[in-house]
Amino acid sequence: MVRRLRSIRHKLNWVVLTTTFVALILAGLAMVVFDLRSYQRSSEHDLLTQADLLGLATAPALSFDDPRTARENLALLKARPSITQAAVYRLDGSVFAQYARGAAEAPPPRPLPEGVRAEGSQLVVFKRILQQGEPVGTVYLRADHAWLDHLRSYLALLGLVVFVTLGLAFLLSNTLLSLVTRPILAVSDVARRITTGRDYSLRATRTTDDEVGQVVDAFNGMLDELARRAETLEDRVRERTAQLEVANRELEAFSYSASHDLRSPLRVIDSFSGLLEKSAGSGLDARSRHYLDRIRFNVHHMSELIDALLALAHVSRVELKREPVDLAAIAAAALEQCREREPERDANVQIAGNMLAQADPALLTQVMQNLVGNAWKFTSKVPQASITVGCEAAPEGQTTYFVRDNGAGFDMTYADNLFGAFQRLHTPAEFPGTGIGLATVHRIIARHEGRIWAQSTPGKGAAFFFTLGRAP
Amino acid sequence: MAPDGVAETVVAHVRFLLLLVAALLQLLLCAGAAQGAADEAVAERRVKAAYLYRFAGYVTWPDGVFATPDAPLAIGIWGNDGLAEDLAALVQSRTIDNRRIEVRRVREPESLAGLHVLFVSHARNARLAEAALGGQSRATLVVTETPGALKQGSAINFVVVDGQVRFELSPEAAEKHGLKLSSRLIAVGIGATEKAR
Repeated sequence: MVRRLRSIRHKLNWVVLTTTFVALILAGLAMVVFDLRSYQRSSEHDLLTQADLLGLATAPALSFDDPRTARENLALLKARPSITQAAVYRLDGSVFAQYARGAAEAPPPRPLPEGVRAEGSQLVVFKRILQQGEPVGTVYLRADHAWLDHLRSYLALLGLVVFVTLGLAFLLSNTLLSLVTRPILAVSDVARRITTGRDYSLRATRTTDDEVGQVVDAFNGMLDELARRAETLEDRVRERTAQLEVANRELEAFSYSASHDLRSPLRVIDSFSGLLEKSAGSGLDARSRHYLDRIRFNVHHMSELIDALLALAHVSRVELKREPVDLAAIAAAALEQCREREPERDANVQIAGNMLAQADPALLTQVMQNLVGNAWKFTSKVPQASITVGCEAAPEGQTTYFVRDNGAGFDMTYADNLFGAFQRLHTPAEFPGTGIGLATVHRIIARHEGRIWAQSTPGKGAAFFFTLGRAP
Repeated sequence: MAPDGVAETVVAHVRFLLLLVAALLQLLLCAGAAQGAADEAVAERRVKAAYLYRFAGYVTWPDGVFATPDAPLAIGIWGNDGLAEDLAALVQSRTIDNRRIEVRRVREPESLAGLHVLFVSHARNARLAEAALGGQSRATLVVTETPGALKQGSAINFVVVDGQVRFELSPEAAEKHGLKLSSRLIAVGIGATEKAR
């Protein structure tokens, strides 16, 4: 976060410094080039002037063939330390007089054409000497032309100026940039606090009249709009939730009372059909007895359905009480009930010991009765039935319980439909059932904030897994 | 023996020829020496002619000596026509400060009037006083070639030093004629450096 805040300043500083640097370097180089040229010109001009003066001074000596005076004239060049060599040539090209500072080599044996030329770091000039408009000889001068030293010192100065200027520019831009960056950083800070703190009542303060000020205004405007929308959205959600809850309660109340109210007429049908069976007794012919049996069987089935529906409704209405529950004991009890119902069946049952959980014992009993009951039921057609109840502790600490059988199983394509009310994957003729058991289990697990899922291969059995959420 | 006779004749011929060649060589050498001496004299004369012309460039004449800005500058040569010829050839196409140069052969001192430079040869040095002091020679640069002539009123006197033509000057003498010698000219005159020291 801090790095991001620094970066805009960083970038702006870069922009300013790069611009300054490039401008300074270009201007500096232009000045260096210009200065070198003018330095060269003035050096050449100086040397030419010197040559002219020398020509004027030595013209009489040349005219009257007096090399000694010419040498004396040349010796005056001692006052000009930059001149290392000088000579005067006669008209025929022979050396008339010469001068050298220190141990310089001899002058060129013949004068070269008139003019100034640069030889390395030295300037060389040849200039004709005129007397009454007539050439009488040539002056030759060689001078140290310290343009490299000059360039070096100029570049050093330029470097120093660039360095100092960049330093000043950095300080100045740092100070001035805060004028630009501070409002931006303020806005970004508010945005950051809003995203991390979820406090939508925060607003950025407008401190400038420029584009940043406009951004601040727009930002605040968007926040206002966002807050307004969030508020209406929340209101709407609350409203809808309340409506849904009411509707749900009404539905539950309806199904409960409907189931409840359906019981008494069913009981009447049941008792009278029982009485009819007793009184008619053996007087009934086979067909009538069959009809009566069908009536009694379906009354019984409907009674079971109503009980299941009431149990389902009960799961939603009852208060959840969490206490230590031994799932192994519950599973064993449920299996015992199954065995009592069909004592002739033989099944290989394995129940892991020590399956403790924090859950509602009554509801968990329903879960085990349903799951173990299903396992019992769907292994009824297998020669060697096998039912396993166990648990696995996951690394995260959540325990997964399972009930596994080697029964009929089901097609995984329909796994999504397993836990809906009245959803059945088998016909009543194959396996009887209400279609409400797994819906009830699902709801109980959901009330425990757990999860339930199943795995199966048709004909090879099924496994139901569930968790019980965290104990509070 | 006939062959011997022939050989002798040939030898005599060769001897004669050799003698002839030797004589011719001697003649040529003598002529060369004479020619050399004459050449030296001519060279000296030419140098003097050139110097005479060049002196004029270093002399300032008083105002009014020249009637017009391009009036010719007259140089008189007294007693050396050869030098006058040399000088005339030299200045034919030359000017000094835009003045044409007129070379006159002086026969008599009467004709000194109007001369800006007068060269008095060694032969006429005895009559130097007439030229140097005469009223007609006012504003005339007197140049001589006789030792001691400066004391007799000459402004510039040619001297041969180590076979080289040099000159000595007397700025005072020039001043008496109203002339100014350039310091640059004085600088190359004999004794200038010694005096400066």
